[in-house]
Amino acid sequence: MNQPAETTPDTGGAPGEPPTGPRDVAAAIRNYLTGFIAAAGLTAASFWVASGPDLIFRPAIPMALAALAIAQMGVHLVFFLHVTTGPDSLNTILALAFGVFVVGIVIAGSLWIMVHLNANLMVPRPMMDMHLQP
Amino acid sequence: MERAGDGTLLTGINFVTTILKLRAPGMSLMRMPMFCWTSLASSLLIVAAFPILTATLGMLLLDRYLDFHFFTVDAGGNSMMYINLIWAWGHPEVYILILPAFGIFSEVIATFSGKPLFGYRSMVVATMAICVLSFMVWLHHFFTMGAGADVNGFFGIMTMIIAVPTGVKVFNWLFTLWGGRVRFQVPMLWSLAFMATFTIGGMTGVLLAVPPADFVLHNSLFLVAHFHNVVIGGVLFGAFAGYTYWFPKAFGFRLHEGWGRAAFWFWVVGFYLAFMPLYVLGLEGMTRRLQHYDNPAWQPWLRLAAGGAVLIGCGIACQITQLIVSIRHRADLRDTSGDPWHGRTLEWSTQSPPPAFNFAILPHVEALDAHWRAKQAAREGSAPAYAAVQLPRNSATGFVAAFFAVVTGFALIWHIWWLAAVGLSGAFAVFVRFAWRDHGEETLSADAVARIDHGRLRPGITAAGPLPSTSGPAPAEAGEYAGPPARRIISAYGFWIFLLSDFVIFSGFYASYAVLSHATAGGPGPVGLFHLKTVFIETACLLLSSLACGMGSIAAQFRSMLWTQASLLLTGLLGLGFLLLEADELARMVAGGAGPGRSAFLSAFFALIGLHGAHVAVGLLWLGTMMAQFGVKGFRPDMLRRGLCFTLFWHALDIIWVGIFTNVYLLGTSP
Repeated sequence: MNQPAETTPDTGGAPGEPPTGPRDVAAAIRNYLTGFIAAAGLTAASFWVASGPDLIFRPAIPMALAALAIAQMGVHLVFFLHVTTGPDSLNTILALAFGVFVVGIVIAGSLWIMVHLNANLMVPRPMMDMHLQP
Repeated sequence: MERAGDGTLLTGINFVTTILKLRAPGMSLMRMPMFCWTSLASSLLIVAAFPILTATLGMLLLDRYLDFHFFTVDAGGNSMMYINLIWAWGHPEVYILILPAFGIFSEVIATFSGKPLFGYRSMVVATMAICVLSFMVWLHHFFTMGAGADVNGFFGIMTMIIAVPTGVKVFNWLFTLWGGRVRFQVPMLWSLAFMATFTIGGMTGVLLAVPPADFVLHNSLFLVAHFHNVVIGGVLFGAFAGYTYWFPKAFGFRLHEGWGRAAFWFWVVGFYLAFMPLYVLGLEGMTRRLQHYDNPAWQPWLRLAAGGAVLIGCGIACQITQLIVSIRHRADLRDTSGDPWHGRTLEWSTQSPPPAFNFAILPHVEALDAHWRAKQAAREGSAPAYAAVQLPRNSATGFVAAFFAVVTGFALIWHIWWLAAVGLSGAFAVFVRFAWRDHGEETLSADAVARIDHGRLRPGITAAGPLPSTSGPAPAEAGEYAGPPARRIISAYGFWIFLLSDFVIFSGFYASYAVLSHATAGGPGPVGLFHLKTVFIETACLLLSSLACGMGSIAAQFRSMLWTQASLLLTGLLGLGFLLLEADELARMVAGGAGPGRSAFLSAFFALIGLHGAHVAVGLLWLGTMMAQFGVKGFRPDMLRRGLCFTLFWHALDIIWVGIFTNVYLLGTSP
């Protein structure tokens, strides 16, 4: 680090910093409250969906839960971690995108591979369990 | 190994942050030397791939020490999952090795050809393409394990595709040589040998990527020959080229040329003699790791290979001799110019070895190959205006922490539990001590900088001028990269990268959970075990504590100590509530005979929830330390930076919990 911090340009926000101006306390609190209410609503919705209400087609429940989870993660990212689409946060977004890509690859790839391996190689599960019971 | 993985991970985070956030003014990404690009790609791979290894080794440790059932044969464990996860890390890992070598060759070939690197932009694109594609090929390490035609076909094709950007690179290097004035010095010799050798290795790699061919060749010496071909011909030759190339910069004297050439020829001839016969042997059906063989037809080839190994031994001896001779004759070999190879990039504009501050005046970069252009322009600098430089102090923290980590690892291997406890608490004490430091940096005065820098301005090289910048850092033009941003942005960005790697650890554990979630081995399943009311209260606790943490960060921004401490206290209490509820929930399960040792499903569940709980516990320890520091030190900039990182950490834990309560608890119990 060659340059003392004082001389460096101090523009743009750090990841996790509220984008609101430094003087606006009300807007900052409002931002967090909005996020909290949205997150609480989505949480309640998830629990409601999981309880299996008649309104929802049963086989669609896992997909609905996944959608609600992704939506809530998005709410947390935007309102709590203050991820924005501004030019300042390009690096932040790119890092996040790469992370999401890798997480997706690891989970989806592992599942895909393991399901195929299990289907091709494993003896049927009940037999396996019987065989291995102590 | 787990410890070494952690160290690698932190290095990767440091490099990514440094390259993305701490460049000299004007050094936009497209003006970076190729070596920086490949280091960036390699570090990104470290950040994204090493957490998978950490997770896998964590599961293995749990299996071995606490009788979990991730990879065991009984209770529904799945040993294939281990192979899957290890290679999900293992294949990106080979690109972590090779990418920096690609960068070294790019620098060496451009320098010794006296030409700019051909196709710089395509080289950047190829590097980043490899970075992404390397995550989508890992199954080619176990084509024969029975994944079936669809999966094998996909991964085979992906593996062939990754050869395309690599081929782009080889052609770029060839075209860099074309029409250049090539100087055949030792680093260049290694690079030329690399281009021939690596191309052969790459082509046998594509052959192995064809699943039907792999069924014939897997586990044979053909495979052994292939990976030695790429790792020795690629990574090792790259390391040797870089060692010779940058040695004078690091130590102030060149390595002996004659011994270097001798080492080179022994190595290259020895390599071809040792490993080319293995291809033949592999095709003749010899498998790897044989303790003895009884096929006389293999005998001549194996003797040839043994002869090659002897030659490689001579090469290694030459390298050791070279180092000793060079040290003894260092006065003759001293590099007084700071630029022994007629280099193109900015490191050659400093003295050899460079002073602690690297550049006395931060250069203002105007184009690629900045040092080369400065020499061409032969700019005569006016007297430089020196400024004081801030340097990090030397610190023994790393060494002491590593000592305690080794103690812990040793104790765990031999099951010496009290020693493991000593090691862990020692490491934690070092960490707290380091977190409490007040003076992490020292300032070197402008006079001292000027005194050291005058060593550089000797007659004979002043013609090259000092550096393009004449009077301090020039103001950045509109739209140009202006230099490093404020330190809180750098810190938070580094922490952001760390969090992403943490997410990958969780994804490894979650992948295991998802694979093993039906392996209940006749034991209880999710429906009987999960109590949604408890989960709901836990979620509410964590959500509220996230809100309180946000309020704390606002209060800190407005410098209100009372509100900050109150909000942080509330954050901590809610977090503690969450932790206690969760501990109670898990304890009840264990008491009810549904502990982690019962089935693979429960192992994966306990590990995933326990990992999250451990994160919350670490967060609470951190929070306590930080509140005490806020109380003692007030709102100093370094304290605010730590506060910002804690906020990121706490909110990230909440995001992970969102994934857990929906995909584990709710999905598990939903009808």
